[in-house]
Parts: sequence; structure tokens; C-alpha cells
Amino acid sequence: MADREETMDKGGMSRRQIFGTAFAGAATAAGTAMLGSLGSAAMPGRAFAQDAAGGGAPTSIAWGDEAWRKIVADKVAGRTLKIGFTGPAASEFYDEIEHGAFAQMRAYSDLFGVKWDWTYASPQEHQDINDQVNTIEAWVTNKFDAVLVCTAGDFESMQNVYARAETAGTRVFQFNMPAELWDESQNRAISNIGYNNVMQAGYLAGRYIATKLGGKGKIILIWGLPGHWSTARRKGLDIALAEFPDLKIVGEQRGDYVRDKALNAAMNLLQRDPNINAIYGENEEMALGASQAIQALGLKPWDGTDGIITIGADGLKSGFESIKEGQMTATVSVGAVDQGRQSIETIFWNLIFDQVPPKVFNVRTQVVDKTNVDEPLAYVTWALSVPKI
Amino acid sequence: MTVVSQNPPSTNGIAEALQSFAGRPGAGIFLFLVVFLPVISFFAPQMLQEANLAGILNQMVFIFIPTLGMTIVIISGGIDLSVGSVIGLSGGVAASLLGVGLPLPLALMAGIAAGAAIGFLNGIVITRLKVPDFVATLAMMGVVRGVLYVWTSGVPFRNYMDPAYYLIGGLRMVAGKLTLPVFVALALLLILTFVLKRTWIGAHFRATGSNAEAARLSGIRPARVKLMAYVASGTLAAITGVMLAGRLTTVHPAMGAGYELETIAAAVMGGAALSGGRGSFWGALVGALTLTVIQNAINILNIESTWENIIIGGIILFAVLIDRAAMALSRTALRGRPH
Amino acid sequence: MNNNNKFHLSDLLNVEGATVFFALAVLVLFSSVFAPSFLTPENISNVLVQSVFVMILGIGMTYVLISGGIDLSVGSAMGLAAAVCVYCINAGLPLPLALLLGLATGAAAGFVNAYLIVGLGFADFIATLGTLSLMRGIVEVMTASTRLNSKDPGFMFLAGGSLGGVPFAVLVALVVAIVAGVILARTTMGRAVYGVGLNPKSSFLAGVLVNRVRFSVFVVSGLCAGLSGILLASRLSSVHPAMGTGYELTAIAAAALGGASLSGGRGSVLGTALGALFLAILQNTLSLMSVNAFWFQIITGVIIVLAVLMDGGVRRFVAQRARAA
Repeated sequence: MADREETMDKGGMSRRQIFGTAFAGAATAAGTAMLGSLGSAAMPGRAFAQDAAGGGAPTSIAWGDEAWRKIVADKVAGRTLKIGFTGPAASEFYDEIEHGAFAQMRAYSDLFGVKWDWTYASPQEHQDINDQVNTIEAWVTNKFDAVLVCTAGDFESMQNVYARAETAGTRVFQFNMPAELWDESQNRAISNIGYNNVMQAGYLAGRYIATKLGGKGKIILIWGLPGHWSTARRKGLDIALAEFPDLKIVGEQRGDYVRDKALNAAMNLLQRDPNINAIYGENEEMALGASQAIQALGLKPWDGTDGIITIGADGLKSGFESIKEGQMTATVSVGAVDQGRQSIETIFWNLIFDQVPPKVFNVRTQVVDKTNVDEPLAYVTWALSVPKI
Repeated sequence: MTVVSQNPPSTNGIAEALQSFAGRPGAGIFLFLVVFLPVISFFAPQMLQEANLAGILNQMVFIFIPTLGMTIVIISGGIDLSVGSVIGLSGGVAASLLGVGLPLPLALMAGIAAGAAIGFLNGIVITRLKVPDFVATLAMMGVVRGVLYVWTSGVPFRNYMDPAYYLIGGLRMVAGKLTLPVFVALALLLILTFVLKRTWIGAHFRATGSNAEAARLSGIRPARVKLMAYVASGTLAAITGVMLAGRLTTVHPAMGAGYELETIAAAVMGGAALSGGRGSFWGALVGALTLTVIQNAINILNIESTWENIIIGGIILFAVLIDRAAMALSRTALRGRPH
Repeated sequence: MNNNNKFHLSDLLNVEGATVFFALAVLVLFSSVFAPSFLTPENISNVLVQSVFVMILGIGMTYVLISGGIDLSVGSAMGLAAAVCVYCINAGLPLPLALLLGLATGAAAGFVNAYLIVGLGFADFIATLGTLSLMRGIVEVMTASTRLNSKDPGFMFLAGGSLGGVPFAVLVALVVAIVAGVILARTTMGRAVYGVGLNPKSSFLAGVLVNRVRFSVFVVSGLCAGLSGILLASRLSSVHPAMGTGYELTAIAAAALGGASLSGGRGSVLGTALGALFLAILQNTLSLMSVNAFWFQIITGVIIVLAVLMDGGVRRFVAQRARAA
């Protein structure tokens, strides 16, 4: 009792009040505990956890204290940060990244009083890079504080517009780009928040297939549009499969990231040889299409010991649900929600305090299958429930 | 359904028949296909397997049905670029209605009605407001696609499937290795062929397409005919769209994008002339079949993906070349015959 | 043409591209008021550069449309010309030579189209659809085997540099527009293009080499596509396999806004240039106003229809007045 009175005297606001107001109405207690754990892993000393019980004595540690929070809030001074977010296409995946960002933005609003002006854009024509450059130019003209960019083009395509943005005062951050493919020092973006497509995606998928099949079997691959994601994931897959000479790639065709083309390609390849052991779809849309092809042809999906493995990469809610139902076998969750959250963390501390983030920040990824799908599914479901900014 | 000069009486029945056949729309492509398949199957015997042939038919339907509509529009002298977007939107309508609990037949009909409505709108803008058809349907393509994006907020519609829809979408086989959409396509082909060959509608379409002024002078109302053509195109695209939504089990906002160019390619390969007045449904079938067979061959032969577009482009041109050669051959041959 | 000397509204409206000019004026007015930062020198410079690619593409397309044809392969031709150009730069060739080879590639693409259409009698829709796929495939093969980026300062200058405060790309577009416009409006060759589009038979009887005209318009279109592609690659300092995809439809829309008709015989370089400017400014305005990205296509589509409607209405109005006069 005395303890609590003491804390009330200090700042005029009880510890419970500070942390209890975070995520008002938006997050579950589990979610907020996760928020704290992410922050602690990413930037020690910079995250907050809601009091799990919501009302009783604090059971979880709160990073920083009221004095620190006040300094930050004073520096923020109620400022509105104008952010532009542009991805190469509209999809479930980019929607998840956005929601991760919404969650972190709301958290910071509650804690530090920062306001957000968030604009989303994606090109009219799928993956049109020039369209995105035009959009960024408009945002720079409108004096946006920061732009968060992901394009289908390589680093080089965007360096012109990044340089101009820099000069005009708009800070540039990238997300979801395979930074490992390029020379880091050539990238004018302040930070690239993503994951290593080679080792954290392609490689993991390859290893999963190899492990489940005991190092032996026939694989078919369905690729997306030619571009850097395909290139990087291919590299990783090759590295993984190089250790297993009895695993043979017997077919690879394009699915161009769309379900109908992938469905047809998978059907045709399976028609040609139904004795396939695994299908890798470069993204989940295509892997899901492949899993439907298997069903449509009356073939057997993987049940743990027998059948055809289907594995994709993205970490979509629909993918997790399909895994839970046993249709798709597995996927590489590339941390979409975490990318969104980490992007906001990076942007906030860089904009407000000029703190320097790493040039490349890779989030955690993991292979998700029926044995471990519950946590990622719950995490994504929570993120998607956060209201838009 | 062809515009070929009258065959003079002759004694060489078979040669005559062949030459007149060669002049029919799509005949050249058909010949190409007939030669192509066995040649390819030499390299990949699996192509001629029953399962694969059935698979080709199952896949072809989704290009074939909108091609039927496109053929009608082209015959009547127009063009419809909004087909792909209509496929997407109609699928979206069906999916979202299913999602809120409407029974499947109603949801499908609503989707088809949406396509018909868009076709009607196209027709009005083109015939009453006199906006040229290319521009009008190009704009409609963007508007309808935009509507789908706004409606879906960029995230696909999901979780609307039920067992019957799997059947309708062609994810489950119904007769041997064939799926339901194949029978839908067959029914549509027969109905439309009957309507256009045996009723006044077909003659009116062709007349309007060949020469709208002359048609008007002979009592046909070109505006009304064109309107009907666009409604037909929208409806057929929508039928495709609602089936596709079943096949893919999600409606992505970009669903159907790009189908319009494939459809036009299939129609033109099948002999439809963009100047109007000429085209055939069997030609449309051959065109759609050719495109599907090419894609099937590329997959089955496991041709390196980077070569895909080169091959498709090359084969389209080659197939049209053969078609033109066949036409030229038949014309000179017939011309050379003494009366 | 009026017999008396009084000034009539229809005189003004009869000028090629008048309606799109009017529409453009309305748009600029709207944007100046409602779009923040629209009239800043930086934004104007940006928007002018943004319009260049579709503008040059559209000017080439205008030649083809006026002659009664259509060229769907220009988007892919952009990519192919850019790929050849950058490949040559990376191979060590001097910049002017690389540029020339890139432009030649565009012209060659036009030659191929022209041969298929005029020589072999293909329908232009299907021929250019075939070459669209073919050229796109070649670009994909090229980019799969080599990295097609270039930081060559001369190359970057094309779309990034300025002369006397005006972006170089805009100057290029201006020159192209003037040259193409003059040829089309004031030379016999230009008039022949209109003649072929309006009535090939009478043109033929009048001594016009119809086939030669039809042939050359496709070469012009290919050349413009090549130039546009090289400029785009300069802007992005790289060649992406999908670059230019869909641009052919935007180019046709720009031409249609400017008064070109797909049945031939109508259109002008000025109209198309203004149409391309209109589309770029529309996009820019929507971006500056932070309009929901998904609404762009809807708004653009509706406005295109309205603009074309207005153009058609104006033409009928002018024709009526001419008949009455």
C-alpha cells in the first residue's frame, strides 16, 4: 500500500495507469506481453509490457520508468509523424505488415503521445516500379517525415529518388527487400527491415523438405515473377539441397505469384508425374494453389509420413489456417507482423532522437507446420484485429 | 458462320472440302494444333494421356467461355477490354454474398447479374454516349478493377467455399476426369451456336459488324445489336468469374487480370476479324485450346521458365501465320476453279 | 472555317487537342487549389518528367492510330531497347553508340511488326500481341543472365539531369513532340498518314503509297518506344524484366484523350502530348491529396470517359456549326 502511494506521488500518474492505457481496446494481454518481448529482444530497454493482470500488482517488468517516458513524450511534444508506406502490390502479406505497423504505432501513441499520419500506396500495374517512384516524389514534395518502401526493383532503381528525398528532408526506410543481394554501402535508405531471403527463407524451406523426406525424393518448384525475391530464395534452396544429392528437382515452372497460374502449373506438373514428394511454392498464394491441385487430382497431401509436402513462404493467416486443416503442409513465416512493428520502432527512434539503426535489420523467421502453427496464427490474428491508423 | 465465297459445283469432293474448310475461321490454327500435339507428344508422351487431355479441357474452359463473349463482340464490330476485371468482380460478388450466408445458387446468379450489368453499362456508354469501344472498355477495365480493390481493401475474400462450390469451380471431378465447368462450357457453346446460326440474332451481329450503316438501312438497329453483344460478353465473363472463384477458393483483387488479352488472342486466332463481321465459336474453341495446350506443353516439357513468353509469343505468331496461309491457299484455289 | 470574320467559339474548338487542353486547364486549376504543394517548382518539374515516358510512347502510337492501326507491343519494346542499351553500356561501348543501338532496337521491333502486318497481312492486334510476348520474353532472358544496371553518369543524365533548370528528359520530349508534330501536320508524309487512316482506297487511288505509310508508322512507333524505354531505364538506372508492362494501354488512353480514334484518321501529336500530361498530373494530384490508392483507377477511368465524351460532344457541336454556317 505504501509502495503504491509512493509511486502516485512521484509523477501524478500511477504505474498501473501508464501501462494500463496501452492498447486500449485493441490487444489481448497475450499480445501485449509479446510486444514487450519483441522490444526487449530488438532494442533492450525500449519496450513496455502491459500489466498482465490489468489491474492488480505489477507482475511483469516495465522497461524504463515514468521519468524516462516523460522525457520521450516531451521530446515528441505531440508531434505528428507523416509516414508513407508503399509496397509493390496489394496483398494479404503487405496487409499483415501494415497491421504490425499499426500495432506499434498505437502503442507509441499511448505511451508518448506521438500522432501518426499514415498513407498507403501501391502501383496500379502489379509491381510497377516507376509508379512507386512517382508516388515517393509526391510524398517528398508534401514533406513527409519518412517513407517506408518495398519494390520489385533492386536497390539501384530507387537510389536516385532516395538521394533526392534525403536532400529534401524525407527519410527513407526499406522493408521486405533481400538486402543480402546487394552492397549495403550503396543503399541510401537509412535501414532495411526485412529478413534474409537466402538463409532465412529459401534455405529453411529446403532443409524442411530434406528433413521430412529423409534426404531422398522428387521435388517440383513453382516460381513467382522473375526478380530479386525469386533469385534470393533460389540461392537458399540450392544451398540446402546441395547437401542432399538424392533430392532431385524434377520440375520447375512459373506461377507468377498468382493462384490460377500456379494451380494450373502444379496440375500439369503432377499430371506429368504424380510421384512427386514435395512442392515448393515461392509464395504462399502459389503453395496454396499447389495444395489444391493435389486435392483436385485426388493425390495425397502430407500426413506426417506419406504423401506430397507443400511448402510456401510468407506467413499469411490463410496459410496458417490451411496448415491447421492439413491441406498445406508448411510455410516459412517471414515475420510480416514483426517487420511492420520493427519498421515503426526504427522510424520512431530515428526521427525523434536521431538514433542510428543497423543498415540491415533481419527479423525472426521460422518454418511453421501443424506442430507449431498455433502461436503464429494467434499472433497474426491479433495483429489483424488492430484498427487501422 | 463464315464469310467464304460460294463453292462452285465440282467433281473433286475431298479436295474441295479441304480447301473450303481451310478458309473457315480458325481452320489454320486447328491444323496447327492437330500437327503440334503429336509432335510434342513425341517428346513428352504424357501429353496425350487421358488424364492430361482431360486436364487441358478443364483448364481451357476459363479462357474459352470469355472468348465466346469476345467473339460475339468482335463479330458485331467492337472490342471488350473489361473482361478480366468483370471476371474478378463477379467472382467477388459471388464470394462475398456466400460469405454473408446467401445460398450458393443465389450468390452465383448475383455474380452473373453483376457481369451482365457491367456489360450493359459498356454498351450504353458505347452506343448512346458514343464513346469509342476501345477507350470505353479500357476505362471500364480500370473502374471495375478499382471497385474490386476498394471493396476488398486489397485483401482477398476467403472462407466462402462449400462442397457444391468445389464441384462448380472444377476442383472435383464429375465425369471420369472431367470437371463441371467443361460441361457448362459445352452447354454454352451449343446454345450460342444455335442462337447465332439459326436465329436472326446471328445475322444481325454479323451485319452490324461488317457494315453498320448498311445494316441500319436494312432495318437492323446497330445500337441495340451492339448493346446485346456487350451484355453477352459481360455475362459470359461473369459466368467464368463465379466459376473461377470456386476454383481458386479465394477472390484476390487482381483475379482475372490479364485475361482480356488472352481472350482476344484466342478469339483472333480462332478467326475473328477485328474489323467486324467475321468470327466463329468453333474458332474460339480452337484458339482457347491452342493457348492452353501451349501452356500445358511448356509445363510438361519442363521448359525453363524464362523462355515462356518467347515461346508463347512465337507460337501465337506462327499459328496465325499458318491460319493466314491456309486462308490464302483456299482463296486462290477456289478462285482458280472454272465455273 | 467561317465565311464571315467574326470570331466563333467553334474556331477555337476546332483546333486539334482543344478539348484536352481545356480539360487540362481545369485539372491544373483544381490541383492548384486542392492539392498541397502542387504549384511548387519541384513538383512541376517532377510531374513533367513523369509525363515524358507515356508522352513519347503516345506520340509514336498516335502515328499508328491515325493510320488506322494499333501497336500493343510498345511496352515490351521499351524494355527490349532499354535492355540492349544498358547491355552495351556495361559491355564498354561508348554511350552514344549504346543509345543508338537501343534506338535501333526499337526501330527494329517496329520493322518486325510492320513486316508481319503489312508484309504478311497479319491483323495488327494479334501481330503486336505476339511481338509483345516475344519481346517481353527476350527481356526476361536477358535480365536473367546478366545484371542490367548502369550508373554511367552520362546515361543517368538522360532522365536525371537538367539543362538551364529544365529537366533534360522534358527537353527530349519537347523535341520529339515538335519534330513529330511538324511532320504529321505539315508534310506530305504526315498528310498521307491521315489519308490512309480515313480512306485507304482513295489514298491509294490518289497515288499515296499506302503500304509504305502503314509500314513506316510502325517503325516510328517502335523508335519512340525505344527512346521512352531508354529514358525510363535511365530514371531507374536499371532494366527490370517487367518494365513497360501495361504502358501501351496508357499510351492509347493519352492519344484518345487527345482526340485520336482507333478507327483512324483523327488525332494529333499536340493532343496526345497534352493527354499524357493530363494523365500524369491527375496521378500526381491524387497522390498529393493522399487519395486512397485503390480509388486511383476508378477516378482515372471515369475522367477518361468524361474527357472523351466531351471531345466527341465538341466535335459534333463544331460539325453542326460548320453545317449551319
